[in-house]
Amino acid sequence: MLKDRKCEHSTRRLATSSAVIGNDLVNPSILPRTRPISARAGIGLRPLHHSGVIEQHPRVPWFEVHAENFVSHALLQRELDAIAADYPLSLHCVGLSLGSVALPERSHLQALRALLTRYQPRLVSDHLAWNAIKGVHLPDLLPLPYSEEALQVVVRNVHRVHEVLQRPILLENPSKYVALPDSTLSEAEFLAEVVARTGCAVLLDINNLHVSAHNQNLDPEETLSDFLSVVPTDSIHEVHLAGHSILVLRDNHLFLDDHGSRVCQGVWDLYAAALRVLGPVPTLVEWDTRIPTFTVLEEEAARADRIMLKTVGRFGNVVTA
Amino acid sequence: MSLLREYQERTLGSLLQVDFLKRAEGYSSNEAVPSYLRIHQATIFGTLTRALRYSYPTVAKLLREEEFERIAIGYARCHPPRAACLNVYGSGFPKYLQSVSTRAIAAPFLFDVARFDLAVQAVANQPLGVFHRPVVLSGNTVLRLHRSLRCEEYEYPVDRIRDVPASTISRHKGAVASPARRHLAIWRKNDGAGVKVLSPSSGRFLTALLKGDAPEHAIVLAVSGFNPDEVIRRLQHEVLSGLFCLVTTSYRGQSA
Repeated sequence: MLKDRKCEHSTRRLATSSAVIGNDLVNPSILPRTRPISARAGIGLRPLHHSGVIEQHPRVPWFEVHAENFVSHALLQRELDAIAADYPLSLHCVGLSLGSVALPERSHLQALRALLTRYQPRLVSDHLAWNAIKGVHLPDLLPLPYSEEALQVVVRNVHRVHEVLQRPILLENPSKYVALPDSTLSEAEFLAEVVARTGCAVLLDINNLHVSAHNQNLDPEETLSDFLSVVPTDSIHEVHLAGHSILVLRDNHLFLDDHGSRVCQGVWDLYAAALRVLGPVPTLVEWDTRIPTFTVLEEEAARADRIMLKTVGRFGNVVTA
Repeated sequence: MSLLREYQERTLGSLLQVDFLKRAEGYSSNEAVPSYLRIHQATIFGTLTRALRYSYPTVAKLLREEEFERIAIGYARCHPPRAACLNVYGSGFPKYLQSVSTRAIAAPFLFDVARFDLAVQAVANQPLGVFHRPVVLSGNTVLRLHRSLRCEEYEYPVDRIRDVPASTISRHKGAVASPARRHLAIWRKNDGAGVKVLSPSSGRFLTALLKGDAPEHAIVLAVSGFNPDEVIRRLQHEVLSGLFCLVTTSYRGQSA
């Protein structure tokens, strides 16, 4: 978020050698050290809260940021420099379009690689979805049919990303409003195959699973149980939690994954059920629309931590991606 | 064509071409266009509208919310993003504004304001502390301009319009919407972009230097038609003040 842009008509600034060096130029001595992400609840950090975090230094075990916010944005990059110096980071992408028939764009991958070099995030993730075709990039996560052809495409694209970023990524199950007719595999079967063929890890978004199950008239608990019995649990390196809303149609209800409210009880219950199988796991509370005060985000993260302690009896220490 | 490609191209066409319906309660799962596509449409156009509102805050302030949204959606349908990162989305929006009529305000005025918003946004995304190669102004004075610096010419007082609070914009609209040509220096500073009004002579001088002209030629352009003493005074006050440049003067081989 850009700050005050008021004019500076009357201000005279003496040029100094530090200005020549430049505050924005990357100085290797201030690059963040690689910090492990502990298996407890972090917070999805949005630009609205950057300055508060930098000034007040809240006790948060780790932050996750949206990678694309920082590409070509010197101001936000400088803020993230300060944050990354003190907190472990996870970089969450939305623009790799891993399900597109076209390969991930080289320029975007290079931009992400530059961010990885600069911030040394512990986790890097994107979604099992697509949003780019014919040179157009749509800012949404569109559903894939879970077919053999799509599987080959995703595997090819994940390999390509691994090759350029030189590290494995986490793949997140998306929220869906319908089951596409060309699907021949379940989502869990599809993800498990991608994991087996690429060595990527999995980011289990429990709110997405909850939303998708409702929208496809499936039982969320059974869906989670199926997911955890098909996807290798040791490949699940992160869990997402978020709020959703319900859209009332003339003849139906749709659950919308809008990340605009507190996590609902149904999702908390699924989270506890997942923890019983997974053990302690880095967990993130996402909030992207109608973003509340930082205190509310801390409350949600604290609730996730309490559930983890109550269910598993401990937090985890270090997670390797 | 592969089934997957066919599905993705068909979906893209539907998302961009089907009329955008804002009212969610009007949706029905029995309609020809699946509800889920309408939800994706709402997300896509909502995101793009927010991205344009972020890049063009003064335009958004001048237009009513509905008006801005209508224009932004129209633009987004004609010019969907070509990159995954929305920080660079919408560079064609000022030109697009020229082609659409708005009930709220004259299009030429909006074009100028949008160009200004775009310049400020572009400058704010530049790195700090990077300078152009030094330019020797005279035997002992060297000027280094900030690499983010832009010198732009506007027909309207866009900087004043930007600074008018949204709550009083309707009261000031008449005054600020009158043409008043000005040159503005826009450069990256700590908390975003700095803006300084320049005299026409200083504007010509800076524009020439940024184009790579020799300083002597830039001076000739600056004084053309003006009192040279006044031009030099303005250059010292407006350009050499150090807001967006470093000025180094050597005395007997020493830098000061």
